[in-house]
Amino acid sequence: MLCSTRFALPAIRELAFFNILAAVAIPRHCDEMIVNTDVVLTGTGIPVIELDKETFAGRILEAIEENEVNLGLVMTFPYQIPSSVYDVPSKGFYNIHPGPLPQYPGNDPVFHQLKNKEKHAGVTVHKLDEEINTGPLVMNEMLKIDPSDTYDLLTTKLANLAAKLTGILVKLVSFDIPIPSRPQN
Amino acid sequence: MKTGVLYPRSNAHPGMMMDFVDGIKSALHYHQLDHHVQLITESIGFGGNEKEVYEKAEKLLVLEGVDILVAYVDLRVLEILKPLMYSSGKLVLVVNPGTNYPTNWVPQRNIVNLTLQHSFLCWLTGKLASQMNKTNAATATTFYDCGYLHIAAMVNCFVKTGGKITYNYVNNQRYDDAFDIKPLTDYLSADKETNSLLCVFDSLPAALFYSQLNSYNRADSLHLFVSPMMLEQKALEKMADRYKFSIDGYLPWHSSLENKSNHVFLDSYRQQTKRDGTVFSLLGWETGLILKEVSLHGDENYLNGAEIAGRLANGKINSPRGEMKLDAETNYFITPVCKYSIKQNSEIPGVEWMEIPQKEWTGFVDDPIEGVSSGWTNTYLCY
Repeated sequence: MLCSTRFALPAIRELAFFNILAAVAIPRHCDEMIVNTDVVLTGTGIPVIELDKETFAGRILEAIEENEVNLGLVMTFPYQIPSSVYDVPSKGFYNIHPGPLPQYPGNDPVFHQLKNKEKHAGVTVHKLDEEINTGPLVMNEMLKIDPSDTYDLLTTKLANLAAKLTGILVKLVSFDIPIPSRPQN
Repeated sequence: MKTGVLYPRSNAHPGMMMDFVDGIKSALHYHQLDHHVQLITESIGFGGNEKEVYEKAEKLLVLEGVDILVAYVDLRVLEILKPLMYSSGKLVLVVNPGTNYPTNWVPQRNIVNLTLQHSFLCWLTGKLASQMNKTNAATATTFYDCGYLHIAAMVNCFVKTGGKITYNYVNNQRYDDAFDIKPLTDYLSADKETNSLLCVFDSLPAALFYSQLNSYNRADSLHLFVSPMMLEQKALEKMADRYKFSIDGYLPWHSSLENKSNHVFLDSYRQQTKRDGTVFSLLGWETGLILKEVSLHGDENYLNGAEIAGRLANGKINSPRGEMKLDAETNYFITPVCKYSIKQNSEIPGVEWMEIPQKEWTGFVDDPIEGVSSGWTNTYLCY
């Protein structure tokens, strides 16, 4: 799991609970996320790997090999992942994005959905490709934005939704079938 | 129009799926669409094996290339099918008794839901118990029935409107002499303040439950608020013995309903199958009516399920239950409902039809299940 914000924490907790999380990799500058993830994973033996921008791709490849990773997940990760990395896990590499696609690519879609006074906010799962947030869509789920939702509260709700979608993705992968997807319009 | 149908089977209700599929065929035949709408069916066991259901759905959508998929599945299994349905983009009609309901009602736009509204009717029943000034109630259900959210809907609404649950009774679910409600009657004997029961049983154990409760020496002080299956004919078969307690609840449909669509349904279904209509054949018939609407306005282009769902939301369908409409906020069909009452020592029920209870439906949707819940994955009644 590659991540940088607390959006990933419920999914990390769930994957760790079911003992199917190999490792978590976080950019070194995201100190708070590293501390939070360490707390969530205390006692599990699951490594938290700190990444530097210049060397992250090589370090991820090492981690994939060391931990026999067959499925890669990304949840808010600031660096573009090259195909030499996302092509390696046998079951694929997927991004869980806190916004509907193609409407809300890019940084901080939670903020932009609120700013645009959307009625609904969503989480989208897509396969990784050469560009950021442009890969084929696997699933999307929307939830109602409550008038009292703050940025933090909506992020928490979307993080819980992301954990649910991650669980569905992992279950589908366990069926050993091609994961259905469709291109973004 | 090529239509795929995923259907489960049931040991408890062996006629269920034949009724459902024959209901679809009857509606299509009545509307002279049986040559235009081609049905391709796949059995999915009890509907609880996610991988099996997924593979059958994939076969229909990908290999058979159906234009529309009708999936008689419960919501827990539906979750795993959603990516497949999302990638296909085609219209999916999910059919089930409605004993589970989503924690998040915002729909995937190409999926519409047709149900018997069981959770909603249970929610209304919980509200009714409060409105009748019942403050203390015990719940009574079975090991199987409590694995679906209809009981939560009834209890949550009762508690939120001022009621208090004093005792929870889960039955051993043996359908023979070992069927036992003694723990419940022992409790009721000790707590004279609890005279109301919130009950959720399938029709088979319901008949045994009524029968044993009728022998309880304080049965005449009890008022039962019950789930829809407890008001089915099979559950009430011994009503002629006259129950000492009162019963109230809601039904999605009743054969006695006086409207043209109901007469057409019952007459056509009987003519074509030599059997009487049931709630399951009703679901099939309504599925046929929806397929009719889709086929009449589809212009042979069925690739955009979300667009077809949008069109369905702009129209109304004359169902045997009355005027049925698709709620665009949730993509659930909502229908009129039937309030059903049996006074103590009476065998003549009171039946009252209510037009689509839009305000109550909105109240139900705005009252979500909170926290984590667990339950059976198979489709309700398929066991």
